Amino acid sequence: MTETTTVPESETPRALTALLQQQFPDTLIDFHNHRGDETVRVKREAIVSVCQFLRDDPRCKFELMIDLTAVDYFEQHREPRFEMVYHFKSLTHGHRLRVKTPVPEDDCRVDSIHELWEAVNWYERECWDMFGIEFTGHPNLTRLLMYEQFEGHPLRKDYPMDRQQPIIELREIDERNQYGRA
Amino acid sequence: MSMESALAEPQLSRLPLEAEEDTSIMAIEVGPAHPAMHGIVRFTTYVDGETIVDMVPEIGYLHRGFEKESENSKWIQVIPYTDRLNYVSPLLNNIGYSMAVEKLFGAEVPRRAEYTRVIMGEISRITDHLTCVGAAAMEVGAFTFFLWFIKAREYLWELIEQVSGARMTTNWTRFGGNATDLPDGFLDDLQERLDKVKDILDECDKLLSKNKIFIDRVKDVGTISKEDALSFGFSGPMLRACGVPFDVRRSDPHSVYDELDFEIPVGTVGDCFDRYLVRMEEMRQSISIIEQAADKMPYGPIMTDQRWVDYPDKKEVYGNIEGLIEHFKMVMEGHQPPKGEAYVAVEGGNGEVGFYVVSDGSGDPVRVRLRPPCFNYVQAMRHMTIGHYIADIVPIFGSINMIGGELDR
Amino acid sequence: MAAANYGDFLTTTFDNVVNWSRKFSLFQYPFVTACCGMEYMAAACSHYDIARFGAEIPRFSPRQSDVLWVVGTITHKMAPVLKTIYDQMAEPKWVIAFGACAASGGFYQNYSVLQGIDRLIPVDVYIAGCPPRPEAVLDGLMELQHRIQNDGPTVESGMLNPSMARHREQKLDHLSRYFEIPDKQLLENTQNPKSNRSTKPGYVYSDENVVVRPHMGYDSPADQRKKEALREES
Repeated sequence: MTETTTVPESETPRALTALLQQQFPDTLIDFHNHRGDETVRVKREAIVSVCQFLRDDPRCKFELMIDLTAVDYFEQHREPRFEMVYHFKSLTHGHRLRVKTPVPEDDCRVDSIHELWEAVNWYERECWDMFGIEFTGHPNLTRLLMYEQFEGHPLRKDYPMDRQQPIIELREIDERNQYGRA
Repeated sequence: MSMESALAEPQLSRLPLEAEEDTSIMAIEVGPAHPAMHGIVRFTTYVDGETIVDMVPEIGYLHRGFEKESENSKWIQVIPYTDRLNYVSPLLNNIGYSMAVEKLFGAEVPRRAEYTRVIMGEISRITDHLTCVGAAAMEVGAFTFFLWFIKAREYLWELIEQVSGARMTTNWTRFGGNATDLPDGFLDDLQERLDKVKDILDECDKLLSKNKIFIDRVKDVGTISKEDALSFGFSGPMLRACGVPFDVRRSDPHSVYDELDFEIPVGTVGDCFDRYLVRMEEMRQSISIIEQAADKMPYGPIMTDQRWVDYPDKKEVYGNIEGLIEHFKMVMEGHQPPKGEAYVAVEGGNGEVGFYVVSDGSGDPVRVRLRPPCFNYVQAMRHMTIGHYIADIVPIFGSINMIGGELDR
Repeated sequence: MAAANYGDFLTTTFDNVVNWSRKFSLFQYPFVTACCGMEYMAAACSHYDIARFGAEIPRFSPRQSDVLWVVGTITHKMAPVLKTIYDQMAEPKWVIAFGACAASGGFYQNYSVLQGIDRLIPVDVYIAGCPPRPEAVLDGLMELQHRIQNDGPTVESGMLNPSMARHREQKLDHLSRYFEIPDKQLLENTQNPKSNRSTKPGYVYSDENVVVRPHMGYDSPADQRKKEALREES
């Protein structure tokens, strides 16, 4: 299908979304159920309280923090530029939820939720490493996948893919220079 | 030195500095190039005598930029990259990624393709467990085990090669179906080889499951409680060994798993021995799933006929101009799933392998994200090894089944 | 194996015997990182048995091994570790680049992957494949054994191991035969005009795009001092 359909915004909220709307009335920005994935978008300031509610409330009971990542919408020229995406799974009820929160580029910071689930620690470190989003309150925000001497945040769209930063001197091989390839 | 509880601070608050002053603590590097053939992870262990007091894992030595590469490719060019993620069960990655993009398209996969995907996926799961348990046993000292399991893996790899053309990096699924169909005589060959694998499993079970030396080495080593496992985000065999019957094939059934009958093996204590037993039993369950799927295999197409999801038939491409143009546009501009996002979880060999894909309607992916199951396990290594001996690092790390391609992407 | 005159007969026979014993008793150091490791395991185990070529047990200490099998992708984070291991091996040593990623970076051309280990250490045999079939692995091992037998240091090659000198010749020869494409075309990236790879039209490889960071401390103190001296000079 070459026509681009936008995500339908005017849908009836499902149970969890309705619950969140009730509990946090002014923090929910929007929601959708595209392809059956229940998704809510909340404001940055409320992320810790929303996640705590999702973990502790018996109607939600999200024991597993499945994924924590960010998406860079630089090429789509969206304001705000980044969007944090959290996926949760409940074993008692069996439902899944995706929570998104927008993060602007100039104030690239979110509150850390590492006290709620142990798993979040490394996921946030990786997000800092790849995108440069700072997590306030994180105990050890250092590089995880890249090395300490690396400069820049590779998964941002304005980091050129080929820019290599070797930390050890490489040999010169003439044939490679001849054909213009790295 | 008793075992530290999960979330307690380590004894030394600012480790390297205090380690120098306190001369009873020694820092030992289990460095990035070490013989455990699982991949490259570095553990900086702080030990008091032989007992581990603290440990700092460092990963990222195999970070190959999967996510950045996929943003610079078309949707279909990402499938070979997914092979190299969990490279001991590549078909499960292929299936997961294809399912994620099919969810974006809203495409339906025909039934024969679903059944063949189940068969190939379960074969991949068996090879994953064979490699993991074989290598772990070899590191603990049972070398014969490894050789026999690799022999069993060769039988299965030859099967995979018949279907997809490659033993390991298969690049087999496409959006809306599969690239190739099962060849003739495959199902009989499959049955023969599964019987051989079952014999090897029985033989090896006799070797280790009641072997006192092995049990002494792995029993009560690397124990993790249910609550800690859930907090660390465990899934897959690691979580099932703790007693939680969570399997993505049961809780969010994808493909045709809701039509197949299988049990979920669950452990009790959550130590290395339980994980070994869970994996051995899972292999037998996978064999039974494959046999059921082979019995129920329907006839039919292996690719969806929805337009713009899959390349048109070659008759159309060479026959009329619309087919030619469609093929050309799909190759040059790439597949164009409608704008949106999707998350699909499959039960990989290690746990829940999640693919989160974001599309903006053009042919270039905005984001392709793999949720790695072993990321959580290596993070929990510190929790699982504190209080044990250095020699226990090897069975614990072996039972995690860390795959470098998946951990570091 | 050049006998310059009759007096070298004994030494060449001795060389032959020594090389024969070297090639059939290779101690390997498998520096396994990624997916190729699975095919290495398959080649080393019962079905495709690497032991029948003498390369039986992997010695996981660089001090005790002859052949460094670099199996799998090497990233920039791992490169200093590889260099340290290579430096720790004693002469005579050989290096096998196993797989496409070790030979040239494979199909990963991005910020984190070293584009071929020959940018770091000299390589004797490249085994192509992603991953190479075990038969290809054994073929590569036999090629290495052929070189060990036939390539002792000789006077003509300036007492260099001729396989290393020949490596350069062979590569130039290959490139000149198979890459008869005008230079202009090779520099263009016609695949994906929206890609932000640096190999865009008009791009010429230069050191501006490669930023060298200080070493991670994996050099020996002597090498560190040498590097400091060089850096101060420039």
